[in-house]
Amino acid sequence: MNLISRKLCLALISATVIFAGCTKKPRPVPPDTTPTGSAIEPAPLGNLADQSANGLQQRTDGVIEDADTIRNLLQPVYFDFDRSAVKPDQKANIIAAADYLKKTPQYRMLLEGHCDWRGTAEYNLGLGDRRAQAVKRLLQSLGVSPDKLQILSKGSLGAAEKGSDDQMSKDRRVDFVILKK
Amino acid sequence: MRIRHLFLLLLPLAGAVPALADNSHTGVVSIDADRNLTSVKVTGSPNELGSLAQRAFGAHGAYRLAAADAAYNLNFTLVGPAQVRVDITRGSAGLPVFSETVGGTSSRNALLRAADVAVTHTSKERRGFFAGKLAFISDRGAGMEIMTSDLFGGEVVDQPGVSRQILSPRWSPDGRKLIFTSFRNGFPDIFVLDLATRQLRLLVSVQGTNTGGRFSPDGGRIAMVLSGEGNSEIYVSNTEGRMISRLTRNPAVKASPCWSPDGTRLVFTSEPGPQLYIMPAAAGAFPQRLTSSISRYCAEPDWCRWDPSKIAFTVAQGRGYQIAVYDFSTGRAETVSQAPLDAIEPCWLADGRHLIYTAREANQRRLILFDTETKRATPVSPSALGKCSQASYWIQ
Repeated sequence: MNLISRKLCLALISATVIFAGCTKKPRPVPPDTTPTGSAIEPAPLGNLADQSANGLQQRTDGVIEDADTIRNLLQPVYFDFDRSAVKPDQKANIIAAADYLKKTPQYRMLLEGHCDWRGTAEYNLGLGDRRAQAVKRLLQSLGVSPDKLQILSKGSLGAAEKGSDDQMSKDRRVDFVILKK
Repeated sequence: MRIRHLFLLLLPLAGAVPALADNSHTGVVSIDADRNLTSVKVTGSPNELGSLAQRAFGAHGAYRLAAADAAYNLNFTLVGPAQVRVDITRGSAGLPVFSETVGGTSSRNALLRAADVAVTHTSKERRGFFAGKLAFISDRGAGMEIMTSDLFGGEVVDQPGVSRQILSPRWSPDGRKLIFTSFRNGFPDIFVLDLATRQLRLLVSVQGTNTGGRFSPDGGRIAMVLSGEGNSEIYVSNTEGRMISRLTRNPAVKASPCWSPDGTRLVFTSEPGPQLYIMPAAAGAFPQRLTSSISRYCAEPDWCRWDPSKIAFTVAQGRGYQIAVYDFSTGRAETVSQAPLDAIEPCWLADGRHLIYTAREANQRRLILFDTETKRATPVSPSALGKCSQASYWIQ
């Protein structure tokens, strides 16, 4: 019995190692190499969440290199000020993104949510996330697997700070970033 | 300039109404006269400490600097490497009021502590705020950095190893750590930096957007906003970022949770609006809306640790933003800033009267020390640090 248990354990460990190697994009971040030598300490062990938050999952994605992406191939989805509902005239862009993913099944897609520079930084980060989630739901309704989709909110970080209202409206968007790996 | 002099001449006829001079270029609202201010003559040696003392009292809304005939004379003398003696005398006769030698972590810190002592002996304030520390974001064009400094832009320390885009550094209650959001790993995660060891810990890295981390007043818990379960929700974890509990369950966007001073409640930003909502810091409780008519947009609450009846927050007014204060004793909110630029990201100081906010315009940010009573506003972030924003304040 003990022998069987030991063999079973070994098989489980082997399978875990093999499947961990197959997981898409687990890109560990290299230790920091700043001149002062500050190092990053890994997240502590222990129970991640209690029953009230059992939908949370540890992040497996790391830094996405520019060389592994295709940007500006697909039209972004634009939003009204402080809104996250997809406007009817923007749905064609989501359909185009869904079609692209169906034609190139080897690729995945990062939905990158943005806000204009007005408002407040932390709320804008939440709003960018919400915009990306809205686009993700529509892509899923068009048959795209959630495994193909990843969300990143940039909030108002990187938004243009000088310009007309029309230019600011270009920052209220979700970009389709194609992930080649 | 002539018009300002004319105002000064007319002021005695205008009763107790303070004259506010608006300087759009600096974001400063200077107070020319107010009979409620205490006049102080501030001197010190060596000269740089005297200048710092004058700068501190010049920024404090309860005082007016005077060259002579002041109600109080405050003299600061360096008596050791990190020791400053403060001598307080009254009126032109120089009647002794109080003297004390105050120690600090440096001569500059000792001066600011001595100045805090002087505040408690010459005003109605129960404590001073000068000797606190700031953590903030500095952007000099090559990326964001977390900086710490004293309140007047001295003893600046660049906290390295963070890099990339950063949001909202906030102190732990013991002043030893900073918690913040960084895109260091490509996605927004919550990190903790130990200031003594320079150890950077990845605290919460779950799928989605992880942001808004704040230590509880006893340092034992952390409130945060995570979107890993499909929507941004308020969560609380232990100090290891584990045993995460979810507190809210509704489809609204939420942000910026902030603990009540006793650690029993949280105030946060939430749709619709956004507005401020308040709830017990325990699972199963329902949020109650706090703000209503003051603005269509209320965000970034900071619950005053030193006066639990006050919450400062950011409100939209017209096309700009100002600082407002909700007062539990009256159940009302009032806009307190009159900034020519956007005033955002308020953070209380230790007297529960002054605060730091970010003055924002396109491609510019600076930190402003602001008195909610007299409306005096003084820039405090050094221009050499570029765009400075998102200040968090800590004092022993």
